[in-house]
Amino acid sequence: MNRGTGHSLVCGLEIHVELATRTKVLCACPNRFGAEPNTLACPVCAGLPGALPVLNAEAVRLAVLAGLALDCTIRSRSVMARKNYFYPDMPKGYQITQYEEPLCVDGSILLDDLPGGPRRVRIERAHLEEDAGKLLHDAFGTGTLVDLNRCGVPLLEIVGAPDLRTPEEARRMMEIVRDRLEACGVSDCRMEEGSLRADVNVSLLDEATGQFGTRVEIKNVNSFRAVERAVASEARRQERILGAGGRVVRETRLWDDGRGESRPMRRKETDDDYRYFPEPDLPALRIGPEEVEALRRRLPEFPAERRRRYRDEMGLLDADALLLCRPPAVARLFESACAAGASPRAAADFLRVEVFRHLNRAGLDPADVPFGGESLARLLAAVGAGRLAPVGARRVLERMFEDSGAAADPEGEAERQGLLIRSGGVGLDDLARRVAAAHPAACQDLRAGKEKAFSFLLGQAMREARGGADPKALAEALRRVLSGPGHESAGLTGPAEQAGGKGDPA
Amino acid sequence: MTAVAAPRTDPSYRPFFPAVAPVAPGCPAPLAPDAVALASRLRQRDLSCEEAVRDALERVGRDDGQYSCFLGLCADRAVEKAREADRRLSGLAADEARHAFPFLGVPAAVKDNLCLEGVRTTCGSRMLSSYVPPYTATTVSRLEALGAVVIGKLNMDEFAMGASSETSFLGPVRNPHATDRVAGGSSGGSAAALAAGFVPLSLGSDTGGSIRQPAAFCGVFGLKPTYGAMSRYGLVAYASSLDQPGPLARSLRDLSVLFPGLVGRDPRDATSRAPSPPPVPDAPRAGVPEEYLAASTHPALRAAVSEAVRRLEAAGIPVLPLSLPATRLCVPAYYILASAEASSNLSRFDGVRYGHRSAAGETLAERCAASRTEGFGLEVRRRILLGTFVLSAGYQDQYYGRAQKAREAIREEFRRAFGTVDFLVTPATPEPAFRIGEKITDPIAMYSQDICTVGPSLAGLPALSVPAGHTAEGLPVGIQLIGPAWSEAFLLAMAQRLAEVPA
Repeated sequence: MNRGTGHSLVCGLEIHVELATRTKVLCACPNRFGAEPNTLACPVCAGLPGALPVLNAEAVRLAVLAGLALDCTIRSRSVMARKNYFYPDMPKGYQITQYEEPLCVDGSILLDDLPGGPRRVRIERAHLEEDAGKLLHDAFGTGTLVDLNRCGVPLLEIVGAPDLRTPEEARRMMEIVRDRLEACGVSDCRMEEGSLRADVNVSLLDEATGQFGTRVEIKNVNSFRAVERAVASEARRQERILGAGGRVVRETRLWDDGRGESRPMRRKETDDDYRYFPEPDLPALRIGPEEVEALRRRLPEFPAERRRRYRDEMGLLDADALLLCRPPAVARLFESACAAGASPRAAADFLRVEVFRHLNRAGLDPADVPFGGESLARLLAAVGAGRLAPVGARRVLERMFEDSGAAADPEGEAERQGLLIRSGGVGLDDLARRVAAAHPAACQDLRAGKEKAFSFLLGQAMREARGGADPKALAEALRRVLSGPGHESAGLTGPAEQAGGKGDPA
Repeated sequence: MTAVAAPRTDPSYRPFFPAVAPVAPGCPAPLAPDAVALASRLRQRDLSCEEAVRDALERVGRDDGQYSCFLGLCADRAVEKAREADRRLSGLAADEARHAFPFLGVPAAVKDNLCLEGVRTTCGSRMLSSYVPPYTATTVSRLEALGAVVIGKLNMDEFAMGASSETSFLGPVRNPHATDRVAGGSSGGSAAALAAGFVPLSLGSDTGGSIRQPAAFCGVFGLKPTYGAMSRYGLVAYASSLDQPGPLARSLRDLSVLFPGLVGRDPRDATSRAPSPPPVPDAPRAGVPEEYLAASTHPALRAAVSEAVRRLEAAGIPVLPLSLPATRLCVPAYYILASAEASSNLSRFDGVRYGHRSAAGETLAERCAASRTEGFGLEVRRRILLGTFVLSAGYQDQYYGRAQKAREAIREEFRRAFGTVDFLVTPATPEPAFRIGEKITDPIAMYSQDICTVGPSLAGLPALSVPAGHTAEGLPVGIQLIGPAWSEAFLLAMAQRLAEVPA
């Protein structure tokens, strides 16, 4: 990215992902977010004298799966190592990680959806390690407290090569890593809860001389947008310094998303000496080729491919395909609805408009949807057949979130609520008569030729019908009743129109 | 066999290869010669478990002032456990009890680096002088599962770093055979408590000789098992790739009964393994490595090995001289690797969550440094500094890396030796127990005491320290039997053969 200063941006990401194991990576404590401080800690977490780590086999499997999802080579033998340094959130005085012999090496991912076309970036390595605890500064005005719950949460550290050239690429890399790891189920990848975190490394390349500049690391980058902004901000900062004839200092900076800028955290004149050595408490990690292949077979379809399939094979608009290809819970709901007979476009519309609105309003996660795609398909079938209006479907959907009976039989629920469309006949005439009786003044106005009164009466009738009536049929019934007894209309609108104009293309 | 069966070079050496080692001269006779005999008396209801445990507690209370074997007693807990044992005995036939709980009601004690829930565990250090662990070491649980009753925690070199048990913050252990002499270390309390007749069984830990050398100095049996045989969970780590808990006893049969009950895979220790003993050789052959004989600075040790060779040959076991040139690498490699691991293992003692916390220092780093400086003794600080240095960038290849290569060479050399012979016979120590204070100011002299024992530690091999007689002054001398991995039962059988040959 030439910004007219003769420098181009060089950026690499180090991404930490918390693996979604049941228990921690080195002990049997539950791996759970948000518990009361120090309630998920044992002698191993607390680094008590004599306690020993034992590697969680599930964490290793998830790490391998993640490595495969990033196109890495899985090494048949890898070694856990100790990284020695003092910090109060790290009770043993060292972190158990991998150093010279990591589990996953030499991967890559393709960055698509970029204005300049797709780009492949390399993943140097991905290794397994334990997370540290958390310091709570001045939580009770008593100085700093330590919460050990996060100690030993399994992490995969993914080290990207310095292959990124624009802030957009950095963000896209983060998104694709999230998409892929989330799809394999190795992590819930929630940046806001810290289960996906990035450290951003930025330097500038002098295009005239081909010289690489000093690298600066930025921490505390906690959203996709922040990745993009932090990279852009750091590139501008370094350009300003170089433009003024200054020198970029090797340091670690802290991103402040509120201010949209970073501030210095610590200077790094030399490399820290972590005195790595092989962890003597854990034997070397060995993974046979059969086990790797078995895990490879577990790799799911990734969102990028899925999006293409939704668009090219299922006929969705690209925007809908993008919206439904992840997270996995959404894709699952969509595909199971289609498998149960729903038309992809109707299902996509309903998910995008109704289901997402409900989730947003209720503050729910897609994974919290308590019913499957089959229920959705049944609901959409009723709409498609014209037995349920969109507004009625919305009500039934709300019930489906609360009541498994409603979810199992949406049409039955619609019936119980009187939401099924009354397509004429006694039902609508009765309703019209009730409305007329309730509003004698309006009826009189209408007879006096004031057409506005009809709109009022129709509105009242619609409200009474609570969405359970076809407006056209109801209008006819109202006219019939108001003009005295007459023959019944058989007029029905088509099902496609009932469903809001989105027919089944198939 | 001229090389090893040379005439005794020390005419004052008095051979003595007991199957049951007596307590030190002048110490009151124990209730029974060994743990198996005591367990048998208890099963016959000759005396109650509570009486046996109270007897042990009384002996310690009365006499341990002379030796400082114990850092603490857990009398209430022990008496409660003894009563439980008595109740259990009354519900079991003697035969059932012998099988299920071979040491039911037998008092025992454990080195103070093995955690026992609710009982102070200090590692002989000011750093942990008030530390009470919330859990019990697997090895101690297994000892108790055999019926033994732990009466207290045994004195040791601070964090198991030492060969004399002089670096304990509560003062040195004194050898019951000569109280101006060291008991050896670091499991000095574990050996001395047996020699003094306080308890018949104890647990120690061995990183570079810490069970075998004190056993030899105190005239008792001590077994360093194959690395991984006994769980390290709850053993406060010194050097994780070398540390191995192990039993000490006054008799071979005690070890033969005790050891199988202590071993086995522990899901809490990833380096522990299920035993896989090699086939027992029909016609065993022994080897005597010349480098170990040459390392013995006291003639009584060479004489003891010669006597062992004579006895083995008399028992029909051929003995071959052999050479293990990598032995010269053992002590340097050991001190580099052990110190490197120790520097990391001991970094958890920062005074933040438990342990000694200094009142000095303003910042976190200052407070932490002050806590460590005050909490650790000189030898521990020396090894932390040494270990930090050998792992540092720029020095790691030169020291830690080379030491790892040396360790591999040592391992390979033992592997080759066990292609020719089935076990090795060496002196257990270069010399008998030295005087308290004699070497404490000279680390190199102290470190070279380990020459006979660190080889098997680096190679992860089992080694048994066997009492083999006395010097003219009556100081015990010991020999060491080293075997291939998982050959503990075979080594115990060979020691039994040595004891059975007529003098």
